[in-house]
Amino acid sequence: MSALWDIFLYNPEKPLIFTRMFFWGFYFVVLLIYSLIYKQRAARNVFLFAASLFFYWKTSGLFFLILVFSTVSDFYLGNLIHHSQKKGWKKFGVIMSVVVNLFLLSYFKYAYLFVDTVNSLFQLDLEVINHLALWSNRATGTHFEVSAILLPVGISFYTFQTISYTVDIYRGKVNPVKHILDFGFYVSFFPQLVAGPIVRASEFIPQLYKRYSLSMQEFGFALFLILKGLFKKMFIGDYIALNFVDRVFANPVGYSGFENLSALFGYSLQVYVDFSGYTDIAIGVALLLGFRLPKNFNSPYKATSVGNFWKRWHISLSTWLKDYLYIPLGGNRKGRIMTDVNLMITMLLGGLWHGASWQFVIWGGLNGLGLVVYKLWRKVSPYEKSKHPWVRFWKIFNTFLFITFTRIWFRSESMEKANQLIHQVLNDFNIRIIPEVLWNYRLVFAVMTLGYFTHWVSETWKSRLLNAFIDSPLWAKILISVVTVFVIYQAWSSDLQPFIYFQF
Amino acid sequence: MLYLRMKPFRTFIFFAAVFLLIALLALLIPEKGIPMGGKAKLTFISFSDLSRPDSLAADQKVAQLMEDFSLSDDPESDQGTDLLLLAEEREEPEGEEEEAEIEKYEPQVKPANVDSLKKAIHRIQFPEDQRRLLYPYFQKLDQIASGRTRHTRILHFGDSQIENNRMTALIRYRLQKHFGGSGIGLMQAIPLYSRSLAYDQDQSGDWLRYTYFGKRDSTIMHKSYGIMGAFASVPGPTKAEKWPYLHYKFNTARRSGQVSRIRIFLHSYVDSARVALQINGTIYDTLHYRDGFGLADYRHPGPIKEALLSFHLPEGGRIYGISFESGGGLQVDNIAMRGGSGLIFTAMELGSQKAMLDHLSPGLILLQYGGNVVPYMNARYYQRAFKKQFDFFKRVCPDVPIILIGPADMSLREDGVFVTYPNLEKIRDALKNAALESGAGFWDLYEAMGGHNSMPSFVHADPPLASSDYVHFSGTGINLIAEMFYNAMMLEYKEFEKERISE
Repeated sequence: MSALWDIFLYNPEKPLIFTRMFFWGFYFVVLLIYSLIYKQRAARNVFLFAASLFFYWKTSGLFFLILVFSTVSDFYLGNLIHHSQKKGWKKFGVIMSVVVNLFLLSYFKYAYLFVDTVNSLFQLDLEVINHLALWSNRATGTHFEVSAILLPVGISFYTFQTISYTVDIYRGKVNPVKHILDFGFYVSFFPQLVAGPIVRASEFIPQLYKRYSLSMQEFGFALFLILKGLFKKMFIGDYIALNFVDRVFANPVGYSGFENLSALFGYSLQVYVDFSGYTDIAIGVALLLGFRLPKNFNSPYKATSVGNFWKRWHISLSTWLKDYLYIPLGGNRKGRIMTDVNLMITMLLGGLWHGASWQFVIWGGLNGLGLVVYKLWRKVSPYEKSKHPWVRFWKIFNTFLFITFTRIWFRSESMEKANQLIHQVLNDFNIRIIPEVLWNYRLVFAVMTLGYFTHWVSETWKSRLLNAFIDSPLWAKILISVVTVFVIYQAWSSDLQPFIYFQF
Repeated sequence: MLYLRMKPFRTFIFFAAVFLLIALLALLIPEKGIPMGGKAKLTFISFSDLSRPDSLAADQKVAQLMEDFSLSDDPESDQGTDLLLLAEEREEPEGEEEEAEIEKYEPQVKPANVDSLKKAIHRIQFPEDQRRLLYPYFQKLDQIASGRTRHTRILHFGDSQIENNRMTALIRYRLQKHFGGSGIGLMQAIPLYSRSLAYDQDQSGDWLRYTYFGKRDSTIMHKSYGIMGAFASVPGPTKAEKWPYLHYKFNTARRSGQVSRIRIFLHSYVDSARVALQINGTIYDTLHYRDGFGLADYRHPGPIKEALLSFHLPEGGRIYGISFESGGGLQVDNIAMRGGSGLIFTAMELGSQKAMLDHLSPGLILLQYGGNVVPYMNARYYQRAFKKQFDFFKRVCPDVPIILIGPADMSLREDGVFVTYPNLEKIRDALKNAALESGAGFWDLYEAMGGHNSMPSFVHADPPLASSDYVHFSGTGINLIAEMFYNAMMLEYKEFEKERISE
């Protein structure tokens, strides 16, 4: 009985994430109930909203109240913006929405960064106090921890989503949602709630009013995405992270320069397979319920420039930043210098969005510089228009190296660790131990090679595989699914790569 | 036409079929897996997986440790749990220098209550009738603090768990704060870690590093590696070349970087070896060496900010170690042996070890080993072999107390779940028996962490206290452990003080 009760209780140790068996049990039950009610549009939306709130409750506990607050406030602000006759009220509505959402995001995400920065700048010793918890404790007698602010899961995603909603209404691009439950469903739809893609109101809301439809091709495609995502995340990403990458980044000075550099390239792959794998699953899971989420990754390491990379990497974020930050800043309409300034601001803030530390700002800044420098280079490069395969290879190679280089700051837990990594690569490279490292970590390097190979292999091959899967009969799809799960389990349950001592 | 479109119920049935097949497969494949030759095997989900706790967070014991002790990435932080600072009856050390420093020392101490901290401390075990094993050393510490003795020293030997001054740094900082002394102590000329909190190092010349532990260079026929089990060698210079050098810039803002004495332990193959010392930009001395073991000992009247040590070792020579010390007070040396099991002291040549130990004159020895033999070594054999190491230290450093720190918990993965190595407790017991039977103290790091299966909690703690190899602590984690050990030692010190007062 208590085991049954546990299913409904929030347990921070057991979040509902795609790589856990419990999620698939949850999804299975959702599918069953959904299949009974999907024809009634209102019931369908209310049910998926309720399921999404349950999903968020299991993942974040009482933080789901913040999600509810953001939903309610933006729903009514959206109505205010749309129905107000006066421009001033419309403006007030949209400003309120942006302020409230950014306040929530700043409070939960950036309080520590802000306090630490003020402390180090002015030699102070301020401490973070969770005023929301303090207020709740005083008003209602709760016992929340007041000396810590935890980051609610997915807050970076859903606040951006609700901002896009009110701004789009203000811009007249979308009409407000008629019912608050429908809006709640849009904000909290569980497949994309935790890690995106960031769905635009204009793309998603029309789907709320459409009937369910899913072709056989789409079914095959959704299933393929789910299996591909699980394989990328669990077989490749988790394996190289656990057995190599995390160890090196935890203590860069304990490893030779070659190991550090390998870990950096390993991480470049890992961050891609983790993140894109997760969104692949999200898109697949949503599609099986009849909802289309936007494509979020398009083989980013095939990019030929930094600009091109950002058109292929976390596409829903980069287009969001373009539409709601870069263009309102003035975009490229205010002269060459201001265009560069706007690009830099967008990338610096985009960096900060990824995490509350100065390393992310550096990472964003480097990417901004990459964009600006490439714009200049493009004008003088004699090869810019060349279609020669070697030129293309050279551009992809350089872009990949640059993006991987910026990952030093994206991954390192502190500036000190980032400096250590660079120091080891420059001063302790140790060519003579390379064969020994490669041999001892052969499984890790084999998985890394497989990961990069599947990324860089030609699109024709990939679509051939996808089409073959889509065209396969249902029984074959069932078998392939089971075999994939079996293969992933082998990586998940494999022995830990033992620690190896290299003398360098 | 019917199947051209999918409906949610069909998707549901599809998933049901997949789950059913997975369940069938789980039933068919035995829980221990299907052997595929060698170590490889095919395994699959078992029904016991479903009921197995798959915690991603630290358990209560670790949460309590994090509550009781401090969490800092910096071993030289003034914030932290320190039993000595909770002592109401403690006498302030005499001496102007120390007094000024104590005033600046405004720690945040937790827990506020001495008794609750004492309860949280995992105590050092001593052989029967030797509860006062450390008292002679505590007397020395008091004499240092009161200026009655000039020097004393702790040698902290260990494996990769203590590399790069991990663990030692916190113990050194706290003890030096309380009893006096500064400097990082013994370092290898070409350390494995070229970054240190105490100084920045660069060098010229073709330096080579040889170690007796780990992978040994088979071209080295002798076994004279000194007490650090390693030496550096630099051939030359030829006539036209400048002398190869080691260059240090000290971080004088840190206690470990405050240095006024440099000692170089070396072995020359010829009678004409020379070492030139340039301190803070001025050439101070050129020391000459004869064939055999030698020591360069240089004391500077003021703080050394920068040191350039140039070597003229015609046939390479062997530099066993360089010690960066304060003029007086306590030194704590970190001697890490990557991959080491602590059994090499008896295997190496005695002369160079003894010569160094005679000069260093330690007052306490800490040994921290065991992790590297857990995966494969027979515990009985290890116990016997380790007892010989104790005999070695008793012979070369008679009357110097020794504390052995046992291995940390370490996990291997079984079907995706991290569990303590089956041999770990046996190795721990072997070390404990060897220590207690040899008249040494034993600190059970494994139990202090929380014992069986505590490592996953260290890995999953926030901030992480251990690395995802499930063997090594993180910077924060090792400082937590060091603070626990330091407080365990200070608990003995407090009892010593109490007895002394009552006498």
